[in-house]
Amino acid sequence: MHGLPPAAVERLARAARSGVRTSLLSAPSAAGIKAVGLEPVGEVMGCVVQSMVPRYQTYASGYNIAGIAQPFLDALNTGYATALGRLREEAKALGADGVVDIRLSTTGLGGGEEFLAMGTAVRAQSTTRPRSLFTTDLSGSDVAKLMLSGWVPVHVEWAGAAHTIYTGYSTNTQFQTSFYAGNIEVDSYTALINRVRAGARRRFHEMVRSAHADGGIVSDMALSTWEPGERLVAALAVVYGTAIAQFHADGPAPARTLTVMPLRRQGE
Amino acid sequence: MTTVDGIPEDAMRRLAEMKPGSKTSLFTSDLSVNEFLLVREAGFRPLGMVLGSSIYHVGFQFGRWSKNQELEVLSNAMYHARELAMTRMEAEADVLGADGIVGVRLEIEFKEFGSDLAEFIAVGTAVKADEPGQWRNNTGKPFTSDLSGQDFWTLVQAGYAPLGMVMGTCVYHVAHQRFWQALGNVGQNVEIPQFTEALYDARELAMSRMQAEAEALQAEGIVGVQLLSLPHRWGGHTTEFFAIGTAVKPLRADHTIAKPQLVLPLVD
Repeated sequence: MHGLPPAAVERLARAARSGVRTSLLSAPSAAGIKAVGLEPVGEVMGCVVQSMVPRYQTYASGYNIAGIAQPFLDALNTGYATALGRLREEAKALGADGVVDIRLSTTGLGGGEEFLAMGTAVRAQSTTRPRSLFTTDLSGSDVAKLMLSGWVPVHVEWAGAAHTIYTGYSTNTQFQTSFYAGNIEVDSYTALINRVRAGARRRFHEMVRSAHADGGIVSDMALSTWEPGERLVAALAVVYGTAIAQFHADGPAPARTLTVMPLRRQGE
Repeated sequence: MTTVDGIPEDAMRRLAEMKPGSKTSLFTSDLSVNEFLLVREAGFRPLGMVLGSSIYHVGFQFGRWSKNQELEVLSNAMYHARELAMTRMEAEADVLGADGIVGVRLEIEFKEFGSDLAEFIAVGTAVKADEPGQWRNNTGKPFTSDLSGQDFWTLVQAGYAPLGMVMGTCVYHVAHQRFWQALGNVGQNVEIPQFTEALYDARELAMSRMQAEAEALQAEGIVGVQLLSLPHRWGGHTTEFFAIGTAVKPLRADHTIAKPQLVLPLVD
């Protein structure tokens, strides 16, 4: 339980004394995970407020332009990693095997940024225990569907990449974005966006691999662009999802789909 | 509720014995859990999330105040930029040795840095069939489809194969009413013929272009067609009419699927 704020330690001590098991799951999610032998043991949280480096910087000669957005990306990385780390600590203290339905969010506070991870810790009705906690942003019912088909979530992964370009000396960019250019692809911006998107996806892929998983399910992919200074364009791409592993090696998945036609009005 | 035999035990054992998977089998997917499992059941393995992107400078064209007309410069821009993004996505899938790309999303985002600049992006999941077969289309490229995993499963079950996404676009300027005509219509319920005609013309142009693409692919038909009116940023009288769908070919002579079970969901 190292690294947890006093309030969290107290919360865990109370959970240990009490027989009440809390959960953030919706009713279908709770029913779903029970069907695959997982029991909720408590809601868990990880939170950190960090001061953030500014996203805007002015250009100075000799400055490393490409890396201007890097400290900002590093701050996001540390923030999410700390929040998820604290969430895992809480889950471990509850004797959980994994955490499902994890939601990550950030909220701006004056001069800082809050990173928050919330989820529901679960324990498997099994004799084997995983070597380390599994974590996923998938809902309880999604976890149930995966496990019924022979897949188990391994790790929630957040991968980002950032890059910045200076368009001042590129007459090409100046022409291509001018009124007179007509229909034309803007090479420098296209290269920038493709670079950060590819970087984030590669990083996600590497994280899935280093988790020793078999695949990754991407939940969200985001891109933000801004101008950190005069004639500078920065881009930051994020890929977020869950690494999954197959436990029924090869062979058809045990669950089969049943086609149904719901008897309810359109749009309900 | 009873637990499905062995599931938590097997899943936890897999997590306890985490070891590197074989290098070739690692995949990432942009699909939801439902879609991922259905695509697997339809007999396809996801290979990786594929993406193509283009930052495009959209040219400018004046529409005559009182004339219904297509703005070809803008139509061309919207088509060419989407084509660039799609081609790049297909190239990524080709590198992965895919048979096709499912769950393709085409998005347009206007960027902060420049009012005429838009990012055109195509994202999907490259898949490979478990059974080798003739899945690529007559251009030798992997098939593309914007159908959801559910629709894709149903399509394959019913004996059809997707050939490719087909699209047609038309940016149209709808004439303003002349002063006396506008005055004559005040307070009256009357049809404004030139508006009606303009919308007919524009939609017809978009749909016929989409149809021509399907004919080029030697398709039997187009499913899941969406006909969108996208105002973008050109003011009230200039609109993009965009038709998009998935061209399909028959896989076998009979097209029946298992009769679905009727269910009455007990939810609000």
